Amino acid sequence: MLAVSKSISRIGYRFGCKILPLLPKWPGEVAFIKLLNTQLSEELEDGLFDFLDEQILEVTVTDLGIRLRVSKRGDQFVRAPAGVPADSTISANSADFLAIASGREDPDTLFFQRRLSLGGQTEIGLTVKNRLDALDRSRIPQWAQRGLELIAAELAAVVAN
Amino acid sequence: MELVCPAGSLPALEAAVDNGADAVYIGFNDETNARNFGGLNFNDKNALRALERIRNRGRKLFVAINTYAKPDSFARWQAAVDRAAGLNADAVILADIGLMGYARERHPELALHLSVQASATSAPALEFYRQQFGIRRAVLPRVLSLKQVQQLAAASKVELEVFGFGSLCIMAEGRCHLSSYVTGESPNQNGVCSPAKTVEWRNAAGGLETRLNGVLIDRFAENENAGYPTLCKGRFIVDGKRQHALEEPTSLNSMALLPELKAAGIQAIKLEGRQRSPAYVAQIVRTWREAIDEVLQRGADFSVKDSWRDTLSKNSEGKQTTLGAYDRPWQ
Repeated sequence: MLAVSKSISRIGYRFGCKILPLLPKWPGEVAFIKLLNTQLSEELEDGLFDFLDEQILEVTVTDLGIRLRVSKRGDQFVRAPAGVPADSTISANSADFLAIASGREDPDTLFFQRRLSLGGQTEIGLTVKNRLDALDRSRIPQWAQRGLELIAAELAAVVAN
Repeated sequence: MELVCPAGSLPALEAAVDNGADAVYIGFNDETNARNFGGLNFNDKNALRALERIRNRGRKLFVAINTYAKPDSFARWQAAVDRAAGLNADAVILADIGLMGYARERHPELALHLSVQASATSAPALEFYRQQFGIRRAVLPRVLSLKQVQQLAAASKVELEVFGFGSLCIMAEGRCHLSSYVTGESPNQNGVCSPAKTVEWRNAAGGLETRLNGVLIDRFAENENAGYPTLCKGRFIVDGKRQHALEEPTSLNSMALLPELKAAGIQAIKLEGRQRSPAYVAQIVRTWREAIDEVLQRGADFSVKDSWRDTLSKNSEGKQTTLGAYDRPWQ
């Protein structure tokens, strides 16, 4: 299991670094926003993400050249229109984003070390961070959580080398 | 020695409990606490869940209502005390003297902890709060040297809690309005230093620039570690030299003093960071739990392990730590 996840991370990462920046738009954007809408439906209904109404948040994964532009309208996250500048931007490399997602590292720590950067309206970025921190992780299946942790650990090593 | 840990969300509270917190302190999601940031803290529903998880694990829950009430909205602070009492929290952490009077009169059974923001630094001050409001514990300001802490501990009739780890500010505790000169809001009045809506980070030719309400307060070269965007940690030109005129971005770490603090009779160690993620809480709580257990076991034989020091430094503001005022032999 460990060896498999190791080689998947390593090969996948090298492949991603080469291919993804060549694409005009990250093909996963639609799927990712769909996933956010299903996973965060309760929070959306409770109005916890209303601060993103008609605002554009741009998340950039620097090493993979992935740019995710998300906004919110009504009770849904939506893709942000092209050509309109973002209100708030967050960027870091893939290993650091995964470290945050898997609960391995604290975003403020990465910020102090200049590995995570914020631009535009700081309040949007900060509120997104706090909202995501407050999500109940027990809703993520145990295997998925464990997988995320493994890949995060592995990617941290791959990127460091 | 009780380990008192921060939580800005339920997952952070769980991280604290899982990693060995004896007590966790939280705030409500408004200006009645000094970490009033968007998306952070507990509404009534989550505060109840927090209490349930704390009770299930046999730990303690403290509620920080540690800002100063405004004359025209005192009712909001009273309501916060009522909510904490209704929750059956193990203590409230208060700074405002009027609010302490209210809590004492309205909820005589509710334990009161004197917040660091009240800035009580002498035995007569602590005794005054004990006689007037029956405070059970006081959190000591981070301006005292170790010797002064020891002297206070010898004289005090209330339990004392000191800071173990966390981001440092200029430490004019309970009296700092620096942020409001530039942003109109300050920690003690509005629960927030450098409100996020006034903060701007911009990449410029000279490096990463930080602005507060349009005022440039710092510029970081490419490999320089950054800190929180507070006025006290900005760099300014003084006598022709650009420098940290007031304070450097750094975190306090008093772990090396644990044997002395224990011998002095300090009852609790507080960790800072309700604004941080569960990942931070898990790492620093685990580290301090191990260190406190080691002190309890080995006493004066204790020494700080490299791995503990590394974890704390890594999570520090500006990536550096200091003993702060504890280490001021001249004081």
